[in-house]
Amino acid sequence: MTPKLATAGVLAPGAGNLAAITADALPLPGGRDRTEDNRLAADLKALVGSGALAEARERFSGIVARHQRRASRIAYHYLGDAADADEAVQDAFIKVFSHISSYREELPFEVWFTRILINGCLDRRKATGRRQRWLAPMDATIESRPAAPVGVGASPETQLLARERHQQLMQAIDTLPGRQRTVFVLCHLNDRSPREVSELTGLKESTVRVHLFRAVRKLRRLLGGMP
Amino acid sequence: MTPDRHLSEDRLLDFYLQQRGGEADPVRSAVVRAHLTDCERCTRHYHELSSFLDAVHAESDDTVDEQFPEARLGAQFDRIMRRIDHLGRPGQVISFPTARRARPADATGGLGLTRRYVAAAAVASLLIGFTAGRFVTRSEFAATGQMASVSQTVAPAPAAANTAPSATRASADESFGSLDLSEIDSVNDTEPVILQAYDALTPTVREVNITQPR
Repeated sequence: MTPKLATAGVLAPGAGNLAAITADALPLPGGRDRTEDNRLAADLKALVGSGALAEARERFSGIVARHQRRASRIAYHYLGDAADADEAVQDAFIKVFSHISSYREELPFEVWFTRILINGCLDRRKATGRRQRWLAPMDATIESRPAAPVGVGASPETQLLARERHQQLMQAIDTLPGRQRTVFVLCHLNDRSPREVSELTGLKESTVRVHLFRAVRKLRRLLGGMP
Repeated sequence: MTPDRHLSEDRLLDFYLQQRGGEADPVRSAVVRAHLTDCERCTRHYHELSSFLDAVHAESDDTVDEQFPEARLGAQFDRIMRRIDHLGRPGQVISFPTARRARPADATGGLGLTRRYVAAAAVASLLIGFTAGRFVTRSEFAATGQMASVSQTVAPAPAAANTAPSATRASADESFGSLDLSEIDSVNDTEPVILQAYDALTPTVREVNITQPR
């Protein structure tokens, strides 16, 4: 099982090499500005500290809007179920708001938030695994997860193929060992560089690359080269 | 790098990531690019790798976009803000359906107090009754127990005395000590009683039928 990511301030104070990271060290993918994130988070912390909850709520809505889609994407890749991912994202944002007093401004907000989110997802995976131990396995012909929705106008054949591809991909990602899965999801599916993933996970950059190579190799073996 | 020494898959993946992430090391990228232009085998491998990774990425993007459309994200946003609004507030306690009728607080308190008094009174009554019962039984035994035992063991007929249970024998022996010797002699002078089994004394069905007229 993947060890929990050290979360600065909230879940595991004093996270490894995180102290060496400055808030504006790296640009975010998609042209987003890290400075804006950090400024919003610092404002939120000050407002919550001063008791101006109405303004804090407004500021927090800006943070949610900026990170919501990316968080949902990460959570979905971890959990493989949209409803679970939805709840995990909500819980992560609630945790951020209720623990904002322990946020350290010198660290990137995004790293802090992503660690909270991934740790929440890991907890959920563990809980799901515990529950599954007590449940009888379903019939192999019954799909255990709801099928992914495909385009409305697609033909039944296209829908079936898309559904199969989706299931294969999610199952293949699910079979990856914990760290390989984390690195692959963050690095490839969420467009993070190995250096950013190193920040997020607390692993060395070279270790991140090794895990990524192994994950890609295993996925190619499992999927046999997607069309 | 000569075409005889091909690039490893790790190196190709590294190059792919550098191309996508925009964090390319110019020197290393130039070396790999130069090799790819010369080596057909590595170029083919690189295209296979990049097409696989692009397909996985595209498939993942499509899936996530379909699972999380704008409407769903909007609903998620609303739920987050609603939960933020309710942070720190205790949950509302919903009364059980059978106890739907609202009772004033003092009435509920009075009822609880009354119940407590009733329970305490019941316990006290039990204790008093038990103690008094024991006391009364002991004093009665002390007053009448000895005489009763003597009268019960001496008075019965000789035949019945021989079949008396052994439990009363001890008290009978004690009572003999207080009798006169003449009474003992008179008991000894009587004819010895032949012991009979209970079965012999019990009339059988046949005897009953014979003695009773039809």
